[in-house]
Amino acid sequence: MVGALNRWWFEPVPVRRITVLRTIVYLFLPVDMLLFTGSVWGHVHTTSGYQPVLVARLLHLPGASPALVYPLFAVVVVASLAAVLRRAPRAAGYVAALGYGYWALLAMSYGKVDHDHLALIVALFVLPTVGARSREAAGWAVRCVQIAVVAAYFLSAYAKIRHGGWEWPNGATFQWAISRRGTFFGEFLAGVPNALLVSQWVILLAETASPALLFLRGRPLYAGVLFFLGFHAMTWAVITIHFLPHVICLAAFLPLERIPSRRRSRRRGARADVAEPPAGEVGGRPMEVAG
Amino acid sequence: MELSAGARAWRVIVSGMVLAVLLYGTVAGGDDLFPFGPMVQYAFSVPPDGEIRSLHLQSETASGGRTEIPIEPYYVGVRRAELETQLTRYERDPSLLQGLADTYSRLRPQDPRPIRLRLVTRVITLKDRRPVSTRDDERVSWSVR
Repeated sequence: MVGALNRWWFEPVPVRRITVLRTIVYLFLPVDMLLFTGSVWGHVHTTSGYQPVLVARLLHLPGASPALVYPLFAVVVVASLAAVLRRAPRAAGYVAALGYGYWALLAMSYGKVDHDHLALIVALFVLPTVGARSREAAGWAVRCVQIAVVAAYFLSAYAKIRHGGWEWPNGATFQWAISRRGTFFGEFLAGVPNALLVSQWVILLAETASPALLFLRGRPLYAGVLFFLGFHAMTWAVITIHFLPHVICLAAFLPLERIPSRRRSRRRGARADVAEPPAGEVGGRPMEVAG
Repeated sequence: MELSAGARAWRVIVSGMVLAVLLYGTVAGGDDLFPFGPMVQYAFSVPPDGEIRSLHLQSETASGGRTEIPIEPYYVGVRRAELETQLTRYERDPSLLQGLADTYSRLRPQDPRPIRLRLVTRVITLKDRRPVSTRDDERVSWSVR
């Protein structure tokens, strides 16, 4: 049992997958800070509304102000770029994680807490733990992001029943969302008899079944990921809620290592480079050894 | 390369602890525990014959025009859901609307300045999960200085 769990937690993954995942995650951070947690910029003007969440209170973190928000944004952007460009990636990664963590706490400390950032925050803290060569360390980091993605789905299905009861799938939950922030397409869908009722059940069941993603492999796994991508595309089309910070973390389920490295494909011609070189053959990638 | 026993141990312990706090937050905690709180976004329900409430900010300008100002960070510095959570604070102290007006003028200087702001709750009544009627209930109003 312990052996099986050990193998599952540390199932070797090509380090290349982490490299690609890093690029996705760190390049996404500035976009998130401008658009999705962009309320932090606005909170500079509404200082009286600061209601810090527990972690922010424990750390005595001050609320948003111009003197804080601009430098914090700059630090996270610089650290993210450094991590992508592999300049001291470990230190840069932790700086980005802590800085963005503070930013996210600020975004959630004005009366409204979102839950689409769990996997992103987990990713930011586990990515710097992977060194240049350890496929097992890469495996653990990938597993953590995967678990965070699944936890966000599964625990939200639990929360729906805990807080909303069985009225959640049977009631007018989606009509509520469409009335508040619906699109033309959403209004159209709401007019189709029982479309919203069926959707509510499909989502509840899919979220409940999401732990399967952790155990599927190959095509069934990619089909599962595709299903959830479709689900997020639908909620965006219907109620303009995209969950992008969470969606990008779905990439941890995909064989990102098959995306050829530009540096290596230049060196070896256009041939796609799928396999990870054995330990000791990393001399051609000096940057990945740093940190 | 294999991870050492120590490198494995701290990883298992840390992930176990994070999962434990997350499970605690899910079962017993609230939003205050962010990022370990329950995933309660959209985790409430609306009865098929219930009501849908949403907050709207209405503006009256000197020329007599009436418009609706989106309650979004890039308009008034706050998100609608945040203002809804803090609505009782605004009802107790309507002068807080002055802050929204000032932020709005600073962020959108090209828009006409409001002389009066109103926060209204739009109530949509449902029958069999579909809207049948709509009304606006005024919650707070403020003459902008």
